[in-house]
Amino acid sequence: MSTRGTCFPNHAFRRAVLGIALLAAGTAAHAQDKPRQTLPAVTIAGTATESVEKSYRQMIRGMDYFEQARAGLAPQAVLRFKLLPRKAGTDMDHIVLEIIGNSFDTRVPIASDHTFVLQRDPKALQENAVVTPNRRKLSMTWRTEIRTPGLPPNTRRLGDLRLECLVGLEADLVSNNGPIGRIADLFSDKKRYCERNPARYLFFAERPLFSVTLAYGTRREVLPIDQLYAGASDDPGLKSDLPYCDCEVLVDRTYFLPLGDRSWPDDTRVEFEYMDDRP
Amino acid sequence: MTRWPDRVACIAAVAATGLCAACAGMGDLLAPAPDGRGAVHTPTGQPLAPQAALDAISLGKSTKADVVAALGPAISMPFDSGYEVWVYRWPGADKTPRAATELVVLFNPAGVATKARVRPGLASRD
Repeated sequence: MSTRGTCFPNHAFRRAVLGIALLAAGTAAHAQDKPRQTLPAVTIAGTATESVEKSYRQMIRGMDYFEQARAGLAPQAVLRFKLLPRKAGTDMDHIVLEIIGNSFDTRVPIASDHTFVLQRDPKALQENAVVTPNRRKLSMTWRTEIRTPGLPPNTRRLGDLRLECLVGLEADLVSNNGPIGRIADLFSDKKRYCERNPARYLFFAERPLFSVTLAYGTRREVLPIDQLYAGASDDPGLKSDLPYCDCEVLVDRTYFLPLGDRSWPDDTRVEFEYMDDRP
Repeated sequence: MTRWPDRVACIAAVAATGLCAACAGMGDLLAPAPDGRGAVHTPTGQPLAPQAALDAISLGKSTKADVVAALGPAISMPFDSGYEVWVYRWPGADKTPRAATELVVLFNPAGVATKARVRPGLASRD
């Protein structure tokens, strides 16, 4: 059995990073070779920090995908998007979220649970608007939240979560726009990726987890510990890499699911026991 | 065995996108910690069945030192909240985390065990 899904060889990644570092170093060294001269002052517009932004068009594509796929996976479910903290100390309660185009900006209401919906706006599509919160880059992360109403407390429905993976990738919450963006192409076949067993799509529970159980009829299975906490149980190096992971401050809430294991139907309940639950 | 690929994908994805859908990763096979953590052994070196190990923990009373004394060092996962999860394993037939029987213990920020559970090993997926 292989769990390698979005695999990218460690040495190759390090080489890519090293390559970028060497390029920067080379540029600096080259600059030092030149005689020093006084340069005119320039004014740099904008702010020192970058906001976290997503493509409005792509998020609408995610909504379209949800409408197409939900009949098969989660016919009663409702789609929302969710903002989550990525850095300690991120203020999640006073976020201003806006759709910004060339000729307009529109504020998007955020619920107390940090979820929101996007309205379909032809103008925003036409102007290739962005959806942007007033927070620094990498201070937050995004997920879809797809829920069938009426489930018991502390449970989710597996079909809803399967669809979260698919819509999350379609909405380009994993986008392909960075210096090593081609790596993100690994996510391009989202259906195949989300049907892996296990699929390495990180879900976040409401609170820190003690256990996650799959239940359908009389069948029950507790997830192995390596499916919780971003795999920390078998990865002593995880802590040093957390700054690079959007689970950085949510490790104790993370879990993976066997999305591709069709022996678990979409109506399978995913039951959570939290650390702070009473025994 | 490689433990890196999934987490590297996370790092790569974050570097490229700012979001990681595939953070952190596990290898294919279960390997013992280099220092032997996570393998239950009594102070006299006797093997201990999972249920007996669970019974050795008194919820609301046992401290980390008590549990180490009874079962040996665990694989520990401390969290920023002050909670800490410890894991002991009994490897299954195919040496995967899924096949292993696990004893999982939760310590509160005061260092006292508040929850514990045994998860029987599961059959391998084909």
